Amino acid sequence: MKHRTLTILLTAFTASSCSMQGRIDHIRECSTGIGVSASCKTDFTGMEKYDSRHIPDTTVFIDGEKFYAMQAYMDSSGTVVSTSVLKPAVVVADFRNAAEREGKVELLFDIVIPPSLTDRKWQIRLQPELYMGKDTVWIDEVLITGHEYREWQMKGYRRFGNFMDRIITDTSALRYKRLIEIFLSRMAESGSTEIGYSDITGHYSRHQRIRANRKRMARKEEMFRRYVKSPVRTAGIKTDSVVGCNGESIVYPYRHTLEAMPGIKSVSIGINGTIYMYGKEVYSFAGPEPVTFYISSITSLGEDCEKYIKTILYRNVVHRSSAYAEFDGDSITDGQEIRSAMKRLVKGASEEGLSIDSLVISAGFPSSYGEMKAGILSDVTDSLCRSIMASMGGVMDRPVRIYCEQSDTLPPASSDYSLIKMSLYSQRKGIGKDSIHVTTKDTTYSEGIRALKMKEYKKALSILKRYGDINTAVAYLSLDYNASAIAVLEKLPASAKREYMLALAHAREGRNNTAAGYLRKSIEMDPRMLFRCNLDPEMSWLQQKYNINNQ
Amino acid sequence: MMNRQIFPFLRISAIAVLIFMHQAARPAENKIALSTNLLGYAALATINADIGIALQRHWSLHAGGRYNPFSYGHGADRFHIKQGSGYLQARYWPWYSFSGWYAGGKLQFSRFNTGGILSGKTRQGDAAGFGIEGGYALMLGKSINLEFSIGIWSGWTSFAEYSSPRCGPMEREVRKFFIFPDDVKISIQILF
Repeated sequence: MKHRTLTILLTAFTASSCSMQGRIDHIRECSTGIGVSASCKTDFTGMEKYDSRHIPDTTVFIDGEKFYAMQAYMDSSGTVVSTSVLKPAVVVADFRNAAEREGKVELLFDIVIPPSLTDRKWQIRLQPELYMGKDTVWIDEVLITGHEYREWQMKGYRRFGNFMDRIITDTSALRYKRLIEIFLSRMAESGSTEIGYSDITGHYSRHQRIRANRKRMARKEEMFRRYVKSPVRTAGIKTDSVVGCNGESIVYPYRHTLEAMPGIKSVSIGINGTIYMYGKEVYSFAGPEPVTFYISSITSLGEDCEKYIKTILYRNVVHRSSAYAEFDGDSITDGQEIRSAMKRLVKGASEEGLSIDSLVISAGFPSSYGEMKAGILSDVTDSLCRSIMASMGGVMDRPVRIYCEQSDTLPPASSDYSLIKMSLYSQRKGIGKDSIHVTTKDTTYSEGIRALKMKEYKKALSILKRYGDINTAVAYLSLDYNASAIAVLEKLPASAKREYMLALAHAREGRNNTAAGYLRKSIEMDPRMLFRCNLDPEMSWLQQKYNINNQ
Repeated sequence: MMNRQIFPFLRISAIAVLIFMHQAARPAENKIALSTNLLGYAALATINADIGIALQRHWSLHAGGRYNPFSYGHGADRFHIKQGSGYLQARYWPWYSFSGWYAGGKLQFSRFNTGGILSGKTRQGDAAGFGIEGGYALMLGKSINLEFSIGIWSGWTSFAEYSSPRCGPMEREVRKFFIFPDDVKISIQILF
């Protein structure tokens, strides 16, 4: 009887193992995979047509008796296994738009897992991949765990917990407390201070137990790996859901927020998956074709234009610089700082294409020079200038008039240092008059536009704020400063874009009726703005709610 | 004859102990311990006592004795381990006097009359020698210990052997070297 029971058990076990392997082989043959849908409102009714439960078993009548013949196949071990016809998951949509707001883009998509890929003993690990240009980024995984798999994981944790319980954390348990107390009372009675407390506790420690405890503590990591072969993950995943495997498809709505990057107009999401059974990989698969999200941004409503400003250009130009010089008598001990200052002056003049005329050097004397007579002062000034010029060597590449003067107004920097001020006088070439009016490109405004394109909204706003044009409004809207955007837009002349942006700002502020009015006006002015609504969720919602179209 | 051989030995031993006490005696708690071996009473009610004094942390000096005047049974069934013993012992305590493990050495003299235990003969004589002992003093309380020990004793014995446990002609006189287990003790010790 026992022999027969054992035989039945072994047969059942073997059949179960072969059945599982057969199932995996069949999944592989059918290339069963997961589905990814870009829409949250995915219609899965089509999938039911492919649900295996709807394929009826074949009923056969033989000689009046009813038999049920099921679909079956023979697996690699020779076992006949009943099976069902599986179809791949259905992909409803493969692209959608995602709006960039405040520098972030939210991607929403559904991951669809057919029932054939779920099992009580399995854990499916789905790894979504983000393709942005040439880069591939792995984002948080989705784990779908069968309840038997989870129970197996918990069992491992329980076994590890039992091991950890054997580690003694209470140090008093590692000592002979009672003996310590008795010994201390004897010491106290006798008044002996011969032995310190640490020596006493060391002597009455359970050394063997301490050694064993230390060994267990040292083996913690090893025992964790041994018992918990598949740890329950809490980091780097979106979810680890335990499922009941009731034959229904599993749909997980995945939400990922991405930092908007300049130049990236679309991202694609692909998914790879792996099936684990009790910690071991049994099957891996690649997901369907990636789903593409096209990223729309409010900055596309801006205008890429240039502004010009009128400036007055003077013929005579003065560049100034200063340096400290240390003196030893009449000589400069180190002219490096003077040389650097001089180079800066000359470079500045050269870059502007100026013609250098003359250089004036003013020097204040060190206080250590004290009160000097006028004649001596003049000699010292000349000597000082010669010393400065000598230290300039190679800075000036052409003959230039140099004047040195002793400045009564420049205070001595310190008892040893002197302050040298240099003024380089130059002239602009090609200007006959003392000054002319020219129109130059407003590089500041261009920098603001560039910042807007690069998604540096705060910087863009700080630059564009004073201009009060449509790009200013775009910067405000990008940062969700809707009231400020409205204030700017209301001062601008009517245009389809202006009306559209007003509608957007009002919709964000909850003034839907007003927003709908502006949207209608915008579409009337430019019917193409109707299609723009698809790129902005606020407008898309408004358009549907108020049934706004170009008719 | 036995006295002539043994007493000089004991005199020298006593001098050695006194020298040892002088060397080992240092200021200490001078705890005194009084103990009695419970197993001794199981050995045909041998009365025993030990008094020890802690000379310093690692050394203690002990003196003790055993006395058994009792005999049991009648006639040919009579048996007894009559004895009168005395010893002087020094103990070394690796940790602290009267706590934990110890090792000791002793000088012991014994006058005995045993018979009817292993055979029907009686042996009466003296034994003297040196013994070593090792044991453990388990602290049960502030002033009470439970001691466990075992040792061996070796030396010279001189005895006369008689044909029966009570009386009878002397069959022989023996003088020989001996070594046998001693000091198998479970003692209660009171500390003062």
